[in-house]
Amino acid sequence: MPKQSPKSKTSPPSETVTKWLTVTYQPVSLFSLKRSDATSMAARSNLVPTPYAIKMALLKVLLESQGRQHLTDFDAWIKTEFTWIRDLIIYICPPEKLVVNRNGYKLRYYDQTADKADKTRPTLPMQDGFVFREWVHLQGHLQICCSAGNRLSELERLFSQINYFGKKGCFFQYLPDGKQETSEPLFQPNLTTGFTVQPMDDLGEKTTFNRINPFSTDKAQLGKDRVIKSGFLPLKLVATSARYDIYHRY
Amino acid sequence: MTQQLFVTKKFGTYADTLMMLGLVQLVEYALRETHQKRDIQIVDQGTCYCLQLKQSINLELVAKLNYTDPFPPVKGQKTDVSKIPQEHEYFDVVEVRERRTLFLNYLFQQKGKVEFNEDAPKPPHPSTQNGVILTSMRHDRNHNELWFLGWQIGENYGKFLVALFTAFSQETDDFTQLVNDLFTQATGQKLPETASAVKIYLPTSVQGVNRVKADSNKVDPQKTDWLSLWLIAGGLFQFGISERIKIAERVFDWRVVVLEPQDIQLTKYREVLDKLRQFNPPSGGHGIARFDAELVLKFCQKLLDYHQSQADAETDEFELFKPVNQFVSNFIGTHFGSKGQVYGVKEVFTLGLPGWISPENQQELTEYNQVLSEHLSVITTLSAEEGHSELLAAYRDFITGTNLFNFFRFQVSYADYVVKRLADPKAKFFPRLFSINGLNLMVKNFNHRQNEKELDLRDITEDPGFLRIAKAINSATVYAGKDEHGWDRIYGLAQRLSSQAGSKKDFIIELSSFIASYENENLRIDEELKKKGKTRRIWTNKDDLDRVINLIEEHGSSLVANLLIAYGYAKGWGKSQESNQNDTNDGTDTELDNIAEGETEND
Repeated sequence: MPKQSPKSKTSPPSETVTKWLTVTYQPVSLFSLKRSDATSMAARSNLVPTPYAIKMALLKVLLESQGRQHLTDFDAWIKTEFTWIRDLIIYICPPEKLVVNRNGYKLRYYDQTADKADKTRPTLPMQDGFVFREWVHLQGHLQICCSAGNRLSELERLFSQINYFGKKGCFFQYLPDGKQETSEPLFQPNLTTGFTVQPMDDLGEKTTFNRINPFSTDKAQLGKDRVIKSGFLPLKLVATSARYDIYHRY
Repeated sequence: MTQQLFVTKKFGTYADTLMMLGLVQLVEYALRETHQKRDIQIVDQGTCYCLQLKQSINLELVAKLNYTDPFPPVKGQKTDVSKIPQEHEYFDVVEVRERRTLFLNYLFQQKGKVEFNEDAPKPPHPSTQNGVILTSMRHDRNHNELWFLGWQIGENYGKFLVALFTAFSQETDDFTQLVNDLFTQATGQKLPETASAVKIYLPTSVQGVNRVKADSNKVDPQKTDWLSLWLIAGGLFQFGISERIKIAERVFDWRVVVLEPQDIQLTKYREVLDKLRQFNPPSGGHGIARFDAELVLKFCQKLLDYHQSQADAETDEFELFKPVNQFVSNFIGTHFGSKGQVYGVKEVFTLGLPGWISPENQQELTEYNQVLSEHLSVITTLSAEEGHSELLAAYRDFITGTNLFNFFRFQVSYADYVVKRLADPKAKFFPRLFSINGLNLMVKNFNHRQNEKELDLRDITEDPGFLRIAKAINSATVYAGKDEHGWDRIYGLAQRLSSQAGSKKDFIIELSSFIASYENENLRIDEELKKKGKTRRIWTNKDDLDRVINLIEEHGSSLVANLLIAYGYAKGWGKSQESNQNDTNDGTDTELDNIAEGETEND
């Protein structure tokens, strides 16, 4: 049973939403995506990409492939493009097996206290420390089902260009043969079989491109521009130890 | 009607469990003080915990309750206690820690057997280490601040509890707001708003980058609402298991775990946990893996002890005979690594519980308890300091997972360790072995799935051919080497057999080569042993090898190899053989039978 995006419960699909596009990816490296309620020092990972991460990936490939052609009318162009990407309803079907590996890394990071103590220092102060990271091994295919509306071909083109979700370097291979177009979502939520809860973030209903654009000064607010709700993944925790968790799909 | 309370899981770490535990102890307190039925069942419903009460709480009585500490303020050597009212009692960390040290020393001298006589020191407070970690990690100030804000509610405490129980009886996402509204309605006052989310309470919300928009690397301290943190602080203090773990010479980390309930009564949960923390805590002096392994083993022991006492009291047996992980699902924890002056979150983890411990009657309760003691006696001889980290980590993977194959991974390395140790003249003690009876009990509950059908491992382990070859391995390795026996020990056999176990052909070659050399040795020494009247070795025959090859064909070489190693390096061959003779006469021979058989074949 895939995750239901928060919007799908509240707002009825618009009239244009008639078709659903399901795309399939083969994970080719370990996956990691910091949960949005965790901090960088203790970054627990989501098990699968969240709708927020998927929409960001779509936006990234959109800007990279078409942004240059709209230098003159960028604001108007991105407004319409962002709106339809923002309003996508996304369901995710995790692969058959997942293994979460827990790691600790030693690294050097920004020392805020030293920076505050001496504002005149020419270099950024760093300190030694360690951080916690989780890396997820996905075995099988990841499927994403999306309300395509009248943007089916465009959406498909964008999905086919995506090569990573989550942290940079978490590569996924798009499988053209795994593409399906249906009139109903391919996976239906089914809470009776059991599930694993994962906080899923998504773009807010009224957010704008500038609110999520790091180069703009518009402020983003938690709960409005980035909404975090519980998502239910059809996964069962079959074994767990200090260093790993193993999940199987129901 | 407040008969069920729901605590939604919103943090995804042990904070969820701790918050529920913080609430449940308030419910228990309210029921106790107002003389209502106190049975509380804690049920994990996936997205939330459900606290199921026998009867609806009478909230009118609860509203009249006075303030009492859900958790005490703590005072370490350097804690600033100027805010704590003078007459108020606090948790004196220095004092309780001394008491614990005294008790643990006594326990060590008594070799774990507690005798309650006059000389015996008093058992420590079960939450001692939870107080110590707060001062050690410099969270005592945060903890005391949370307490102080709670204490200030004072006269309205009863009404606060009513607001709390009413809010949690409704399945709501934002209970903080609801409690606040209800409390304000009832009293006209407001609850404290926010407090610092320190790492011990919310391990993934430590100071660090966490921004809605990736526009800066500003490192902010995290804030959360006071109510959640106050509940978490109560849960952690009363129910957490904290231990200082030795990592290296004079380097100590902290590990905090909490037991995740699945479907269990609060009284049982509390009693089992308190006994574990008070009388027999897992040791932190020998590395992380040993702590985890001891934690799981000792917890299971205490749970089975509790079941034993319940079974003796003739309560509903139906409730008792289930796998251990039906009552509680796992331990959730956080490892705080030492960074010199401060501690950082190094790991957020869970430790599973051995689901194969599933006694079906009172007899099995005792047997499983013996198995646990046996395992405990094996791992307590291993220590990270003496270079056994890999063995301990392998064992930890087994005991915290639910897969028997992880046991084989450990057993292969342990088997060679045992033989090495046996050969070491300087070794202080004889290495401990697992018993055959214990292994039999373990394999009983592992159903191996093969070719779409469930396979009972006993099909292999009760096969006479398998048993005779395992016994041959035993007599050539563990049993051998002593002068009085008169034959040499084979080294590295477990490693050799295991390394060839990937392929049927290679494994059969390796096994045959072992049996050939074993039989050669038998031919060489048997006459002499007979002359001297010494115990003679088992003779394996063609039929045994045929049977094992059949098993390999049927079940694969890896499984059979692993089981052969596990049984070959176990203890109790003499005993089990005798009991087999008493039970059946189906070909599993006694020592005497073997000799007779050997003679006939020789003749």
